[in-house]
Amino acid sequence: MKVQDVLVGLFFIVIGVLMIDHAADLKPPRHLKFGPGFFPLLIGSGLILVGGVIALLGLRTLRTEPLWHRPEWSRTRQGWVRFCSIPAAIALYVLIVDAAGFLLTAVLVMVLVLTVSGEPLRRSVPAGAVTAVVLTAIFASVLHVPLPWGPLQTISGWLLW
Amino acid sequence: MVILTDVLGVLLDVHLLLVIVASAIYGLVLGAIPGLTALMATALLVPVVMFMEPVPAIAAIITSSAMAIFAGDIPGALMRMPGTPASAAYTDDAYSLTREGKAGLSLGAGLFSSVLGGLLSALVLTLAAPNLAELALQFSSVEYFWLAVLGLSCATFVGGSSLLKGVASLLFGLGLSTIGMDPVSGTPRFTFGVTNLLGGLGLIPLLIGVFAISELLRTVTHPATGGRHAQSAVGSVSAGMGRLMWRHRREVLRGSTLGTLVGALPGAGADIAAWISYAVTRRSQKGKDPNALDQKVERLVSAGAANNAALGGAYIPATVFGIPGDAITAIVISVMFLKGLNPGPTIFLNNPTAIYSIFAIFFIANLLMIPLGILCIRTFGLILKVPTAYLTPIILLFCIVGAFSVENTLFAVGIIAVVGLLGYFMEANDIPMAPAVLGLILGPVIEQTFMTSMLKSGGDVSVFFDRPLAIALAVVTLGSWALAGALKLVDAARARPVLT
Repeated sequence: MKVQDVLVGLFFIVIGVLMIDHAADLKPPRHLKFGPGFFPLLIGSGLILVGGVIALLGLRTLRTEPLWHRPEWSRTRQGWVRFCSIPAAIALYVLIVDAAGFLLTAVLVMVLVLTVSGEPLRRSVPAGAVTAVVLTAIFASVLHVPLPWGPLQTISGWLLW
Repeated sequence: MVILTDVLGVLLDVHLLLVIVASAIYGLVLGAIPGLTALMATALLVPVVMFMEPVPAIAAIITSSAMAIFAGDIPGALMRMPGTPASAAYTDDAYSLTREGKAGLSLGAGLFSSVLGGLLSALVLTLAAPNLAELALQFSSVEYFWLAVLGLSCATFVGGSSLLKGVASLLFGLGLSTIGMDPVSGTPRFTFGVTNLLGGLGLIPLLIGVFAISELLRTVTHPATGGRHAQSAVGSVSAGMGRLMWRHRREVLRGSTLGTLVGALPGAGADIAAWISYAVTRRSQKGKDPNALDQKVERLVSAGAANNAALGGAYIPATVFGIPGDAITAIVISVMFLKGLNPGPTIFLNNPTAIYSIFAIFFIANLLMIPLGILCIRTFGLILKVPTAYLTPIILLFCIVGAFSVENTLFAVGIIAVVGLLGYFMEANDIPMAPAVLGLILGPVIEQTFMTSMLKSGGDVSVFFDRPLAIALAVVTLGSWALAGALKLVDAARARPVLT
């Protein structure tokens, strides 16, 4: 989604103002002349300055360019569903992996993304299962990453060595 | 002569050769997976090498890290997802060559320039290590500050068509780097009470989000673009590479030299070496079409040679003075101490066979990179045959587990989604992501060196200009800014009304 440069400039100005506001609360320790807020203050000022110039230059094309330009994919519901499937899959993983375990969650993530892209369940479920088992073997067994098992804790010995 | 015979005796040991081959394969596999870095590969090796003899232990780390840095080019070239941060500088060029049906050229140029860069840096390491390390030792926080600013400047200039948006992106990245504990007083900043933010935003989850998740978002919204992955063929990786490397010998030599020098400076590693070399080459192409095939290859070989050369360069201060050149050599130094190979000037007197064997392993590892690298590219190429619809969730799961495995928190997994969306919108609005990424990497270095220098001088900014080395670096850095600004103004004057 492309927005007009005035909005881009305003975005950086807002970030800069927020940084300066937060930096102002960071007091330097008594024995130091410069505190933790000094560097963020410089960066925030820079953001306001650069954002201001971008916004000012954007004003020149404000009448000829729309405030935002919708990309082609966002004109259909299917496009939005595809776009949202990636952050939604990550959110799903974060929310349920501790309770459901990595194996089941990985299968669900695979099924979610594959279903959105039009793949039938009879293919997406086995693909998800195989991927989950391979990833578990690589990360949990070889690299010793502590992946959660959830209700499948009892079968963890099959894939851990 | 006695040493040469001893070194050959060590190198011809079958056990050592097996360790080198096994760690090469390990490094290639981990480097080729987006999200898994050369540093992570090295860190994961430590528990294993603890059970080895000193030379095989260091050999395993050298080989796997060199292979991982090259292997990072493979997903970068084939899927626009750099396997390691060291490949991020030229990922766009490598990927655009693949999109033009020249994946073999892109990967071959990356492979052979990496080998040449690694070999040249190994030569420098062996012959000139003490002198170069002496120069690096003269650096104070002021020189480090200027060096880091120079690295950031380079990233901004190569960022895209808009210098202003590049600077804004850089400042944004620097701002993100301030999240966490203040490096001087330890005060929490921008954490808003979130414990996970106390350590700052993890670099690896951020890189995964910016480069991988944002690319996945583009792929799912443009299925046709993703489909091209499946139709691409890698082609021959080695054909014509001798001629290509000879034609671009100047860029390879420049990248190798810059990489070795930057690698030798403590704090600056393969990532910064690649960015600086890329920027210098880009600048040297003034007046030429930046999208022409030859120009892309020039930038690729220059930065590709630099990141592998930086690895050898980093061992100069590490072995001669015991000062880590980067995080990987910090691990190497720890392993050397634990194995009784105390790094420092005395190692050349006490353990000459061991230290020269370690130098020789650099040559072996880089030469081994040719057959194993080609094999790795061929094996990785099979992934292109997988339908994009299946590739997308598999890569997504790799990204999720990769982010989790580095930080061991689900917070890091959430970060990749947020940063991925941010990266998608930044690119959609012509805001280059590279300056933000380098701002994140170099932000803590810049802040620490800046604050240390300011505190030492009691707030007097003249401290940044009171040493000859600092003045030289300041002139180069400020000169590059003035030059970039002037060039943009000239470009704007020629192509009115576009100014930004």
